[in-house]
Amino acid sequence: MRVALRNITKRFGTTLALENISLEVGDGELLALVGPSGCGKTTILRLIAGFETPDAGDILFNDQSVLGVPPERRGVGLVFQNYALFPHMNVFQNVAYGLKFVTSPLAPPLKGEGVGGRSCVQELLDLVGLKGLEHRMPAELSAGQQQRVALARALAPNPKVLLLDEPLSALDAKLRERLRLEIKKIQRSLKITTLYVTHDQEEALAVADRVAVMSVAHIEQIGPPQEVYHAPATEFVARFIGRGNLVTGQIVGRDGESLVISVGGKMIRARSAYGKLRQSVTVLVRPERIHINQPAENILMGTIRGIEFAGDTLWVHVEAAGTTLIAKANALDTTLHEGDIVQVGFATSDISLVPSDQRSPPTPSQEPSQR
Amino acid sequence: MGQARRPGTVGSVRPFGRAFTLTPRPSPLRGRGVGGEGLLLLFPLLFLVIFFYAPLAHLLREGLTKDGIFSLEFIRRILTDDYFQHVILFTLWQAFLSTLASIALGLPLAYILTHYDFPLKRVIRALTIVPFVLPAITVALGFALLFGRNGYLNQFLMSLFGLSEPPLPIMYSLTGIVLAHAFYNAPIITRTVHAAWERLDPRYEESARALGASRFYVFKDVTLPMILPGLLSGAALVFIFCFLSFPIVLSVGGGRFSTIEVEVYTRVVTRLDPQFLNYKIGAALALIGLVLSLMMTYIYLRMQGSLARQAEHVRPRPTVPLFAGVRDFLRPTKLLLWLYMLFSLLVFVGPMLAIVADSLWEDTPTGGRWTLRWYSYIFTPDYEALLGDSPLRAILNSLSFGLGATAIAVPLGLIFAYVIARLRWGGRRLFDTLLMAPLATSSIVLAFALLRAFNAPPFRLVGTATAVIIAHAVIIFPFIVRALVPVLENLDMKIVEMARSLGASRWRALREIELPLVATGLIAGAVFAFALSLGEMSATLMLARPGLNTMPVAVYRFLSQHSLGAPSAMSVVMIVVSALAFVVLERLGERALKL
Repeated sequence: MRVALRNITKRFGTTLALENISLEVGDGELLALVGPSGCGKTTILRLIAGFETPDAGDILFNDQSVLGVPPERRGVGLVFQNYALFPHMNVFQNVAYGLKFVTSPLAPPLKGEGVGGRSCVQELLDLVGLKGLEHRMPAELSAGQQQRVALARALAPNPKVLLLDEPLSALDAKLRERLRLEIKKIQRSLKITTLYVTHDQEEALAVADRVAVMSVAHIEQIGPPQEVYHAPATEFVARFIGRGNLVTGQIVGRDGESLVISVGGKMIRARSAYGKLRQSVTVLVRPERIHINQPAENILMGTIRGIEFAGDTLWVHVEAAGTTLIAKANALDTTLHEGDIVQVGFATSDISLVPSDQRSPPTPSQEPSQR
Repeated sequence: MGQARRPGTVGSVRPFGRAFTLTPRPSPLRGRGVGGEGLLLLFPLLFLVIFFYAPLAHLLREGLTKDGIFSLEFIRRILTDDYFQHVILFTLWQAFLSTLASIALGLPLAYILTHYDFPLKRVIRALTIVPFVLPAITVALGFALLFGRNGYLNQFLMSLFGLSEPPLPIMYSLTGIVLAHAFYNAPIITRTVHAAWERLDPRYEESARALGASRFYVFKDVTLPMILPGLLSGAALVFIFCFLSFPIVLSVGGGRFSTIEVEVYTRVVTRLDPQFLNYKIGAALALIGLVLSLMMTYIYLRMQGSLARQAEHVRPRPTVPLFAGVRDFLRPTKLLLWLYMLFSLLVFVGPMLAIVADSLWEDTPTGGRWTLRWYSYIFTPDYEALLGDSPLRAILNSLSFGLGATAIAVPLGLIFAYVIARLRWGGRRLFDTLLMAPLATSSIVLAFALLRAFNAPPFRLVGTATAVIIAHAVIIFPFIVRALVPVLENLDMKIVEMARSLGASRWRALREIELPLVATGLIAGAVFAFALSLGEMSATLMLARPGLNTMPVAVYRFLSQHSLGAPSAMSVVMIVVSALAFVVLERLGERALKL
């Protein structure tokens, strides 16, 4: 099932929740909607599920408008952050609940299942790894188990679209990492078109076929995780996705394939086809692209102002070219010390130029705007 | 517990840190948790034991002995007697019907409040607290005036259709009792169901709909089961209130219907009883009623406990305007709604308007006229034969008894609630249980017990104002405690610990940190206490002698002699005081009080 949003606008009272949003999710694709809280990503989900109606625009399932279709006939599976498991029903009853109503033309009845879809429920509980817990009540389950029940329940009526609203946000970090892998595996095996809303960019990059990055009421960029990470379309995306060094500079010349950019009085070269002379640009260098004390096309001299130990990694804060750059170094590197004068180097191909954001003037920052 | 003035205090701002020294100071309030406060707890405990448990024990002895020996003779006599069986069954039956009627009347409003937006919604929601502060006797009076044989409704219908007989025999009937109880208690159903419904995260219903359930199935499978605990707990409370109801049964039933309460009252006030047999029978009947209401209260409290579990972040429930254009106005479902609202208006507002109208009206041989006569009458200190006293005395008594009872019950209740709020499970259950008996004991039974206890040394108090004040204090005490416990529980003890780590003594932390933080709740509790005392009629009626009448008692005495006008004026005074109490509670956030 392909899902498409066409020029959707939605207001709540006077606040604009979504402004002229268009979005397409391919058949069997997992699209992650990521953005800060309050940007409207959950609203998109609720529009697709049918709990909200857009003020303008259309929502298409396989090129067919579903605007007049009530939620119970849209054939979507839904998982909320709080799971909303029916507290007065046990695991089996929760998962089986949707099978009572399998008549919708959008979600035809399951074939070959017994009365009440018992075997289907068992299969699903197997799939999410909850075999044997059929008779537990939701309150008797751990948070991770509740999450799995919620997923199984959403999948039971064989929906054509799966909507996940911050499905893992209520879990601790370790469990989150494990479950996002499982969700992706299940989604792949069922080939179900999925929208995955999260505020966690790392989670989005990890699970998605494509990522849509949202700022307030707008989609900033849609693309595969690698593209969004390495070639952010806007400064907002560059800041929001991943850890990065964003510095403003000015194009001062061209040297063959590369542009020469002045950053804090130092010249660096970046490979880019575009760029006008004297144009202000924002330069993005990811920390893992910065090498300390190694030969590179671009070399800046700097002073180490701080070193964070993070297990497998050292985050090294280097003051250079009038700003502070974060470099990722191997944790086994014992040669680095605070106060050392070092060379920071990076290749011309490891620099991305981001069009300067009109809305928020770029400021030097060590950290993307993200928790 | 004197607070020593300390050096180093600057103006009104006295920093915690500096002035404190490390010298150990003997103080009864030192130590962590409730260790020190334990001593203060003696006051409410003694109060409960002396004025509640001891008199109750007395009553127990009365009902369970014959010629000084233990005997179940009187209990057996009641349980085998046709008449008493009828009384007990009727008490349960009318409570059951009243509960059903309250649900029927209160449920739609809960739905409307949860799902619609309309002007005055906040006010109407707030008004559901009114039954807690409105004296029951004013409800009885309002019903008599509106639905009585010569009431406004019957007169209106008679003149409208040219009838010679009143068409609606509501007064002095079971219907009247049930309707009055529904008026009084439907708001409780509304409150509890609305609270449960509003707390219900719409994502449960949305999940069900996404799974394919239609609106009907969502309601049946998800919404109803999830608001049912709220509904049942509200219904249990209403059942208890109706089971113990006295002023309404007595006045609206007009003596034709006897419940356990009414029967005990009649037995006790009938003094032409040479062998004190009525006391014995009355005590035994009171005990049976007490056992029943204790059981019901226990069930209710258990339900309440299980309700408290849910606490999560809830997405606010979407609401739609109730008035959405003319076409919407005339839709069949909306018409049903208007019908309900019209009926509610009649039942809720009608009786109150009837009282106001009657208080301003005087019948004359040539018809009638508007007058302020009744108001000037109730504020004069002239002797009134119906009361055996002046109406003004009743008003003054009401106010002074209310103040006295509040002054006793609020400090004691605060200490008791404080200890409960700080205790862990085991100890807490003990104190909750200690509180349950006074909560479940009706005013009539309590007054009966006090009447006997105050008739003997060391408290020869029968016929004194002190007796009435103490009775009021005992009656309102459990309500105060229940209202204050959540307020105190919300108080973060870490703040107190912080103050103490900065050098404040336990006593100073209590005075400068905890009390200011709970001040609002405390004032709300005091206002609530005063309103309860003001509306109390049952116990007062049993304990009062000429000169000790209160406003509700006076209204009852007027009403039972079919003397109108004056009781209406007096009821208006009570309604005004209740309304003031309501406004204060609303302003202070009645939601802070768990009623």
